Amino acid sequence: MNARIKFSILLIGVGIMMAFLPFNTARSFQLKPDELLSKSVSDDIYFSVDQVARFINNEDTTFQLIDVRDAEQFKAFNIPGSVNIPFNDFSDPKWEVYLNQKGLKNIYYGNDDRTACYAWTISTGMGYGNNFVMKGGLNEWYKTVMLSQFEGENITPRENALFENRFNARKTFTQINSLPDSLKTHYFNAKHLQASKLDGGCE
Amino acid sequence: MGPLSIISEFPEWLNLLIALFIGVGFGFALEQAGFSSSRRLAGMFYGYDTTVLKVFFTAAIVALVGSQLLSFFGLLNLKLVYVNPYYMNATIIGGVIMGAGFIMGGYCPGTGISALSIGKIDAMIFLLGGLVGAFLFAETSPYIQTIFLGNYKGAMRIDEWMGVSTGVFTFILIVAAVFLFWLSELAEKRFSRPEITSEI
Amino acid sequence: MEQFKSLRFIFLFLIILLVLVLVRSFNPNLFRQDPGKTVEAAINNNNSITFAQLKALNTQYLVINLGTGGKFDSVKIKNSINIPVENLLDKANQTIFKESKDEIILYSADVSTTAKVWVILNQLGFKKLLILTPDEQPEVFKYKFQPDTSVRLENDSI
Repeated sequence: MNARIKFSILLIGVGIMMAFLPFNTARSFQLKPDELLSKSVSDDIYFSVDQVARFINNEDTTFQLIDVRDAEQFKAFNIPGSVNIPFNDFSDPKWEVYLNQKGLKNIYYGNDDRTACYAWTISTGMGYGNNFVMKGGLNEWYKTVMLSQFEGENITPRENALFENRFNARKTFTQINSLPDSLKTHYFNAKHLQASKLDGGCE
Repeated sequence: MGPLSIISEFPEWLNLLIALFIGVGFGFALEQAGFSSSRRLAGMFYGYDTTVLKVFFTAAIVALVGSQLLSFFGLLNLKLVYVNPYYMNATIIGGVIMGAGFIMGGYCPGTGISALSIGKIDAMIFLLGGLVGAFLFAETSPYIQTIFLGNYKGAMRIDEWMGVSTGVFTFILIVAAVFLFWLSELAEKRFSRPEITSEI
Repeated sequence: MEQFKSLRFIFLFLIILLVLVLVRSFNPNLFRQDPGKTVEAAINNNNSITFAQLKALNTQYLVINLGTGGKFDSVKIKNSINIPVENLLDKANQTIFKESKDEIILYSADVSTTAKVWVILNQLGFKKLLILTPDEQPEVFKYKFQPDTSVRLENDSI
């Protein structure tokens, strides 16, 4: 019996086993359930809307806002600088460029907390790092940043800073979202192009 | 150093040291397999010596099976493994040029360096040619960019394209390899050139 | 027989590999679902149930209250047990999920907790899982954004 036949038997044996491996490990959760659970009960995964407003005012480039609502809602209005990844096709590999990166903090938001938390748990479970949720979603954003007014007589410096921050974010939000649809579409397309160009790089 | 989770915490110098050892091992294996002889590589095209096919196909399968098993056992995060983006035009044109160079020169870049290090003069000229080619490409790339950047397909994977699971694809490839090994041994008998093979 | 003997190392290797793979495959403390399926199950809030629907439900169900200590919610629901979210994966609690043949309904005062726990349990392979929600329609935008058409970016730098 020559070496080739022995080797072939070994290969076929391993191959049959591989064919029956239960799932594609690269496309499933990498974390163990208890690891994922202990991460998800921590409060460190949340950013408040005020923090997000500050990121926007400072044009902080270390974070990336991810809008998990559908494209229609995203087009109507969104937090400036967001990327739209509709939750309905969240598992599409084309989003990996945004989700699987180490440099930026990904902050998920939806109208409420729920969809953002689905997205958070799935992407954290898949082994992507740096995932956060904007607590309260757009409802909280609108209530706090867009609608809150200062009421009272004396304003403390802390309150003053807080309201100035909200006011500036509100201004940016209104200006960007009041652009005509054609300009918005151009802007989003340009953003997508940029991300796909950044794809790759040996690590 | 990439995705092997147990060694991802190593400092930079240790990673480089590991890379050095892997490189030495690779060069040693190439030389020991006789790949520093251009006649062995050319034998692949004439059918009298198919070592190249066996070695490289085996390497590919070991890597494929190994990475999947490691990933299955949670030791390797396949997500962090870089998938080369697929530029269709560049792959086809580059493949043709590479194949022509392969048969004419009798080396591929890796084995060329392996042959250079044991002092083969033809390998030195071969690598010089390679460097000239790289230089010419770099100088002319702005003019031919539209050609080689055409038909960009992204980081594409053949199992996803075929719509089968990675495991099934591995099995298909293994069957293909076993079949080709059988075929190559037939070819070696059919086109045998003992006067060359005895010298390699 | 002689041939088999020369192959014994190969078979030994294959058997060891097979045993390792099987041990790994049947490890209960591992995720093994396709995340795409989880996304599918969660879209359009197919996985949620309102109080009214719960009342009208005529199959058996088990409500799991995920509240913890201080955050424990005092909503009184029939057939409900309390599993604090930190202890979700304890052995005893795992068996509750495994042995329950009825619909399991998750409840917590904090919608994000139920959402995260739902994904984790779904990935662990529990299929009859619903989220109890107080809202009739979760995930709607409650305000109305009015674009300001007088905005002229060229006159006012952001």
